[in-house]
Amino acid sequence: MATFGLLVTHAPFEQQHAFTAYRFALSALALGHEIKGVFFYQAGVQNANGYQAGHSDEFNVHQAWVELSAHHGIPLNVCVTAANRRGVINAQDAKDNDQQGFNLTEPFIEVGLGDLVELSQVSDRVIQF
Amino acid sequence: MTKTLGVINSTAPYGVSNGQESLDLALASANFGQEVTLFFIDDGVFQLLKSQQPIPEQGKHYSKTFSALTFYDIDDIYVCQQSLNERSLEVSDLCIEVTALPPEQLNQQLAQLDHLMRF
Amino acid sequence: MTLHIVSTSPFGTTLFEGVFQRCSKNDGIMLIQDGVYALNHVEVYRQLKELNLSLGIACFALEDDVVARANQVKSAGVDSELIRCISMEDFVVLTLDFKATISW
Repeated sequence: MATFGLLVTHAPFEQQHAFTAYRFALSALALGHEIKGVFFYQAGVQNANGYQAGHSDEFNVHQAWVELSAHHGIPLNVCVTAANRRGVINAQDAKDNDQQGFNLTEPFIEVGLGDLVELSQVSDRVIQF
Repeated sequence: MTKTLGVINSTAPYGVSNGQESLDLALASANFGQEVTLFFIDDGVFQLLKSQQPIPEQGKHYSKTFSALTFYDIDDIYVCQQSLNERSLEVSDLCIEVTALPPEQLNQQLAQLDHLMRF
Repeated sequence: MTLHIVSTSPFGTTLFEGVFQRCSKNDGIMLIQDGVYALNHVEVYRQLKELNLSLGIACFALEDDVVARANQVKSAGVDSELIRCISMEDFVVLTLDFKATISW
């Protein structure tokens, strides 16, 4: 069985990439492969924004990632620099920047780009979406 | 670190942030000891032009960082000769030392790497 | 051997020219999302055929994305031998048949 790392560089809803990445992950898991982690970079960090409030009958990619992580123990790593630039911040960032709210919570974790390097080291394939 | 990384730059600077975030990734990879090779193809070759004068308010002059690549031991920098030709550019128009290759040879370099990311 | 994953429509861009320029012998092309509109593009489709013959480039399209866009391979007059419609699971397996992937 193989190991995969997924790199998501596009925002959800606006474009299909994150949805495709999620479905790729499900299929890889169904085949018995291991997803070592999902790394969110560039506009992909918007996947980690927990303030998404679409209609109840719409697919929520953010929630789908959360459930995927819960069921399969897959790390959801978000580049902190890319996220903060785009208004995706965790509780500590909010405190540091005097912001009233924060929208990045676990299982999404803020990390540096070094974690993408690590992911690529332990993955047979890194697929960018 | 055993797996090698190729970072492909195929978009022009300023209009989109790809170039800056790609460079951040390349530098971070080198910092973490991952062997990284850079490619500039298609509109990506515009990132390397000399004498860029970005609007100061748009942020730091990221293309100046290209000259620091060598300090990060990133010396494998390949540019697509055909992409240069199509844009009426020459290697002498570029701000750093690169290896310009015809497509077939550039593709051979790409094919040797374990992971490829494009920006 | 590289699998080129193309998610952009060929209409109105020169992206596919760039992808074709990066193709080496026995590479593969995987059309996903709007990339499946390549099946409707006469010139791009002709080039896919040519690359298949000259460099052994295999071409695949993600079936769900083709069907979602009402872009039935049959009705588009596309040779199903040349462009194989595959499932998401097949796509996963396909990425393992190649050394690396580039997403376009």
